[in-house]
Amino acid sequence: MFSQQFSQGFSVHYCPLDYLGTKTQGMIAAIRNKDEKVVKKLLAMGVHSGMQITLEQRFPSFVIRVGRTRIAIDKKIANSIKVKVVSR
Amino acid sequence: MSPQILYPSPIETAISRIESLLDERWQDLISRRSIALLLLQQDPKIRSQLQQQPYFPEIERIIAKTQASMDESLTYAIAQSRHQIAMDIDRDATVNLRKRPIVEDEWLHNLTVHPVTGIPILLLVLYFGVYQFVGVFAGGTLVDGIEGFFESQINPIVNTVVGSIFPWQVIQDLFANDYGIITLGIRYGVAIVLPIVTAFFLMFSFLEDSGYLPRLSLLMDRLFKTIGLSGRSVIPLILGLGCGTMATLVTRTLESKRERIIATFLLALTIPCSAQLGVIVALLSQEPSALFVWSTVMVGIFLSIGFLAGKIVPGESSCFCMEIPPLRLPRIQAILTKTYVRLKWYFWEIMPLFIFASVLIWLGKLTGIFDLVVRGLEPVMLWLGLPQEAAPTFLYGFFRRDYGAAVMFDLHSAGILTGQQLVVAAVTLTLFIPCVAQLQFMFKERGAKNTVVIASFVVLFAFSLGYLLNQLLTIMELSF
Repeated sequence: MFSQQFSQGFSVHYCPLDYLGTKTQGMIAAIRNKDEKVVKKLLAMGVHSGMQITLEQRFPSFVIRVGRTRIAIDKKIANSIKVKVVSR
Repeated sequence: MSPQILYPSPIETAISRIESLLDERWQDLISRRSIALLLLQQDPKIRSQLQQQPYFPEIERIIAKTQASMDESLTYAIAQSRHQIAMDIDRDATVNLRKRPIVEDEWLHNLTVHPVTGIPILLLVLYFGVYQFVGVFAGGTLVDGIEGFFESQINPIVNTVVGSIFPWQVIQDLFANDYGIITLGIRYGVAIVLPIVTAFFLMFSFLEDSGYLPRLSLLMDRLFKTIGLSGRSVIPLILGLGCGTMATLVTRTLESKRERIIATFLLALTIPCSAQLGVIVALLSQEPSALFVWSTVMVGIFLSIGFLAGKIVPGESSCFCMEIPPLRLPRIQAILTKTYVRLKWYFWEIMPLFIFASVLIWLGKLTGIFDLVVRGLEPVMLWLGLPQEAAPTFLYGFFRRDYGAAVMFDLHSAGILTGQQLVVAAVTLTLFIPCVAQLQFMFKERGAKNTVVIASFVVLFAFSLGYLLNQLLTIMELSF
């Protein structure tokens, strides 16, 4: 699921959110989900490409902070958020 | 300030092409640009309105072509452009926002969502909020007081007045005496449902305004996934401990049809309402081991039947995505207003049903159908190892969920029901069909087909499980 891109000599990791550890910070690279309803809902809550994202908790549910919003999501949705990791 | 958002060029091209196709009459209602944007986002309402138009296929073609030229879905691209503008406005408008520490409520938030501390907090909230406040205080103390007042002060007056107006016993029974509209229907609504539901709404509004409910969903989501539900369903199921009828109504907030069906089903089968819970706990708490067997069996059935329902009910498994607001100290004024508005709505919704139930009981007794049903239930009672006298509890329990349990209490006091029979009867009665009001709401919310399937399963399952439990307790030679 890890995809690597080479741009300007840096290697950039796009990683599904559910692969990351807690307190990881990053930038949302893409949202990929078959279910358009889920994508719409995430968008409505301000989860967009280019936004800063912090993973606060993994269990029992994933808790993320995007901008000033805190959102609880399940593993499936976490998997659909692809993140460019800034710091671990 | 620019009045319009500029979308990526393929979308802008599509917008102007669709705009030119739409006829004049739309201009007065919404701008054509908005309609074009809604169409590009596959809005179902506007699509169905335009489906009949001759130019609709052409619009479809434009949308498909535009989508093919973009990497991301059109919805996503449109939202992204809007969000970008919003971010820009935000940046321009917010001045010198110091990095305020958002950490103030952080420790409390962490306590409530960390599994190690969160689960005990959850259990405490349920124990004090639901069991102690709603079950023991409102369902016990308040109901006893108000119902006692009704039975000793109001009912005798009603009986006398009705008796003096109508000389016929049949008409008297419709309004007064044991199952009359006033003496049963209205008394039940005012004396039992009103205090319990008020307490429940107060507690629920408090939890809602404090921001705790989404945290509860967050904690339970994983467990609920295994029974085919999502964390969101915690809210109707907890409401079910207050009143199953209201909870059945609230299942409409769930996202998928599958989740609504499973939640309705579990509410009908396993979740005891506060009226019932109060009497059963009072009855069984004389024998702690009986209470233990009852609660273990109920939790076991809730989990295993939920697990099976999750496997059987068709549809995509639901996903969970919920905003977690900051924890706040609720404002009392807001809680009271909320409780009042809900109560008013609920009361007018439920009151006609209680009156209807009284009329049904009256008809059933008048036509002799009730006697027939009771006689039909008697062999079932023997099969469960229960005395014949227990049969009416099931029939009347259907009209008043707590009534069945209350009659059991009398049978126990009279020495007719012994320890093991008491446990079997309590389990069977909890599983048995919810009250007539809940059944009516199931019809309303889930439709006739689902209701018939759920109701027949519940009846069959309640009696079969009662039988098995009786056999099992006999084999294990458990005595209470």
